[in-house]
Amino acid sequence: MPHILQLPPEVFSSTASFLGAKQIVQLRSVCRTFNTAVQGWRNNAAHPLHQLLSRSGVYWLRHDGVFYTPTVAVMGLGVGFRVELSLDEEQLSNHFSVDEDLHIGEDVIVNGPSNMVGKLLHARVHCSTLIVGRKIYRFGGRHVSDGSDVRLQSCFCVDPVSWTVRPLPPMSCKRSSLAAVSIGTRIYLFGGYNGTRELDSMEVFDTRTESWLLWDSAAARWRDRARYHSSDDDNVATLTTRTLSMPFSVCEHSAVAVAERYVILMGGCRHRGQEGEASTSSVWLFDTVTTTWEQLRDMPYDRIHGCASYRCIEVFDGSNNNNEEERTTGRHRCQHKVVFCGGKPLRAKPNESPTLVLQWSGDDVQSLRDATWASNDVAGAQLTLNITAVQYNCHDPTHPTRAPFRVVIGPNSLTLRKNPAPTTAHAEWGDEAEERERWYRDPSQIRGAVFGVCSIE
Amino acid sequence: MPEEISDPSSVDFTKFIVLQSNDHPNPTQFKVSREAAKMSGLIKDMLEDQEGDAIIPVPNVTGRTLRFALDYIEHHHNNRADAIEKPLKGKIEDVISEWDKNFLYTHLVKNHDEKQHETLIDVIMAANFLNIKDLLDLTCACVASMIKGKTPEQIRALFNIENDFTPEEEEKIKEENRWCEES
Repeated sequence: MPHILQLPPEVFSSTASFLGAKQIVQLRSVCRTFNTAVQGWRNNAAHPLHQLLSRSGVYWLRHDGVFYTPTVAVMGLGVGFRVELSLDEEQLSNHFSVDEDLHIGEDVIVNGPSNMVGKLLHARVHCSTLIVGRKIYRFGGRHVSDGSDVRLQSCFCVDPVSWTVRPLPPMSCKRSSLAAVSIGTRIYLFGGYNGTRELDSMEVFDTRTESWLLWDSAAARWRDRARYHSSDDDNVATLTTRTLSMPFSVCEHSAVAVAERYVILMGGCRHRGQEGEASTSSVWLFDTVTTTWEQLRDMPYDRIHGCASYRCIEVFDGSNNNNEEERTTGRHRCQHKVVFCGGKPLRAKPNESPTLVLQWSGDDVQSLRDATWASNDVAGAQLTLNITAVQYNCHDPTHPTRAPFRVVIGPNSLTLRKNPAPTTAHAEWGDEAEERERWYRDPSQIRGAVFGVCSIE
Repeated sequence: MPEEISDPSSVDFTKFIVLQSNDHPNPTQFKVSREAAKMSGLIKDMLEDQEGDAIIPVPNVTGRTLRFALDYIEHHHNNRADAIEKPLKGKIEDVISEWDKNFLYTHLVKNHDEKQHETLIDVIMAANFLNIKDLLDLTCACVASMIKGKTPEQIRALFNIENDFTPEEEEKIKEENRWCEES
């Protein structure tokens, strides 16, 4: 008797290619053979079903929803919206629709059509966007439309695997122009503007339980809400805060997570909307383990609404970096690099907006303290506000469209690289300092206002 | 329908070839035009590699199954079917020709009863072995169409698959797949 389990694996995958992502993933529950096959497709980047199942690609967070393209370059072809392999535009927008009775915290919803919820969800500027695992998280921001200008307390999660957008528990207060980073499964949110003043509080979201952590002042650490309730700790009075004070208040600043432990906060604005309103060049370091703050060297310029990214590369000590033996046997150390681009001082309107770079090597925090900002030598920079950085960790020379670092602003995108045709990851981010980086404008024309871009590898 | 022959010596091998099934001890021989036979990637390669001898034994494929595969290529070799959409939006019946529908649902899925799909599986194996891409697409899409919209439980029942997970494994996958069931 012929049986479906006797079919060769390639036939099984041809069969699956006629199914949608959801149905394919459900095949896992049928039996071990099916489960192994589906897991194999998802984990094998060369398999035709990989992209469908892993949803790797670029996610455009626009005022009218979330859109997907396989690469940044596809957007540049003038195809406003294209989905490879799976769904057409109508289907996708159905999949990304939200529940009408969505709970979005205490945000004001102006009376209007039911898709107002959708508008409020997506049409947000100055919102903080992060990727943890394969999910995109967005926090707060500001919604401006006819007759309303609200700062937002709500947050939501875009799940590219299930094609859903769903609300998360709201933040403790309204935060627009906040800065946030992810470390492990936690997301740390700092400062922001609530419509009246900038904030000096931080809070922490746990993506594993999708809940906000509580600050345990006695133990000086963030705790899981559920675990706290089950413990016999008597010290209840100290455990009720959801936020922790920072030594300063700030909005319109930038943040990066460094070495899975530290957070660097850069620039921002103080006394927003009040007397003494000013941008700052201050740089602060927050240690998530000791939950302590310290001030680092200032940047050479004040900055608001900039965009920072961090990358660590391993550098091998020794004269010849191409020597395979030295690579495997020699000492290696980490070279850290923070790139701060875009943004501007509050008052001045410079024609050029220098790209600022902070580099240090070694894993001890002292070398970070000693690092100084370099500012002037990245050509091609422009005045750009509210930009988003897209960074590929696995730079693949066979995919030149996957430039290692790119920023997207309004209808343009810019790539930071050392030469027009990058060949290897080392040429991009290695220690060959004599080759200068510069900004290249991509020939892409992105349609519509983009409020954020995420790439999932 | 494919022409079954008993005496290959009467065949004009400049225009035709003979494919021989693997039934023992009495294999079935079919006369097929060279043009049509080239829909099979395997036979196309063989014909390019070797001249002359054009009685090709097809291991792994019975006469009954080979007849269906040859029926398909004779009908389609100068009348190729449109590519089938991926993923299928509805059932496969909605996107294929009348001829293909009859082809699938008369014998391959006997009397259009999804439970009786043994011949379909045989033809898939043959299409895969002979490398007849369009036939493989049609038959795979037919299986996909049968799977579509069914729960894992229903899929197991339809294809007679044993649930070989431990309860823990089943729970784990269910948890990971929770998003599938939400909408």
